[in-house]
Amino acid sequence: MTCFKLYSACVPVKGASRSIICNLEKGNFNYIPNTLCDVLVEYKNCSIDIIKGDFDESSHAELDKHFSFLIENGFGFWYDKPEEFPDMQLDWDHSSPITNAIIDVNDSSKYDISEVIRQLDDFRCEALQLRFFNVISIEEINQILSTTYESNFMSIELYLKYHPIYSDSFLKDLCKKYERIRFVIVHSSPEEKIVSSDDDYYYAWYDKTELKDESHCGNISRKYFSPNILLFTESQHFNNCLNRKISVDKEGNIKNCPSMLTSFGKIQHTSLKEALEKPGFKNNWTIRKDEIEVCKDCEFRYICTDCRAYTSNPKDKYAKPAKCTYDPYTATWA
Amino acid sequence: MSKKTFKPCEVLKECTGNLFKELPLSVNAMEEEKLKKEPKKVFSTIKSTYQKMYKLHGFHKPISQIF
Repeated sequence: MTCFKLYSACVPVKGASRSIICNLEKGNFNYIPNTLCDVLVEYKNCSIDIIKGDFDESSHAELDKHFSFLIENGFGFWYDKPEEFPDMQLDWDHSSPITNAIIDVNDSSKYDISEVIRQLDDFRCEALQLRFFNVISIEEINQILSTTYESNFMSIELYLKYHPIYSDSFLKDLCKKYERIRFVIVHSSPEEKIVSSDDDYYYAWYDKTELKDESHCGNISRKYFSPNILLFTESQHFNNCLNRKISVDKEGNIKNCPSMLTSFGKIQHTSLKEALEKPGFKNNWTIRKDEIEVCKDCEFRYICTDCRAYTSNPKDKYAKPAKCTYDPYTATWA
Repeated sequence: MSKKTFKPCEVLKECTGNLFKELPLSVNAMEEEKLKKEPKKVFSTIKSTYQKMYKLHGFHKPISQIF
């Protein structure tokens, strides 16, 4: 019996008016009609004869066309023994209690950034974002980043406020010296440009946007879509922004993210470990996209990162992200 | 039992591309940009291997969405 089989990393997600099929290994997705999504789910491991048998004859050509589309785009194949290709498990777990962190700094910040980084490293934190809203000296940058030598961080993202001292060559040298830097964004820049190293490993963007504080965050956009196995599986079970995230805002408050209102203590008096263990710190970690208003009907829900800080109704913990302009019911972006 | 009708999708043809590919902050855009270049002459060392690992893999999602 020849059946259509999706590759295990190709997973359809149904939305209110259309669906997508994610290729989580290749990191892309395609739009498919909801009717095709229904067929793929309802008739999993069924032969084409069985599928066509349930549809009127006028639909057969369309069905063939859509299966051809899936094969041409590398989403699936015809095979006699579909049971030999089990579905991918959508479980998610991580060995680190904290996987990602944000540290915000401005001129009035009065805490030891290097000490925060050391505490994050004790968590075996993978990804760190350092956001400087004011200009910081090269010496300070080096002093802070030197803490990350021989650390567990896999990725460091650096946001700097534009100053002529941050030349192209400085940024290249910085990324070369601190190999964990994934990219540098120089905000408030008079011009927009991209700097990359000769071997394309280092990326820096100069952007005109003036970042004054954390309120710029929470944007929901196609450019942030990340169709990969880790995000897709994490989104099935956890809040895909706040889960295993910890932050220190510019005033030194320990929070889920700098834009959230609740503080779990000042970093000057409370360790990150103590904050993590406080009641309520993990409350937002389990708010899944499937529970959030509007998001639960959106085809992008497992590849799009949520925002719980800026929502359409602050009193409702399941309210839609306020800065999302996508309407899944009409499949349009405002 | 009446047969079902398969409703074709108008957007199937026009939306097969990935919009996020073109945008600079996307995890995928960055990785694809690096991968599509011709591989340079690389002397494989532990350092270069780890360096590639950091740069190519990064973190699996945006840490913030500030832009």
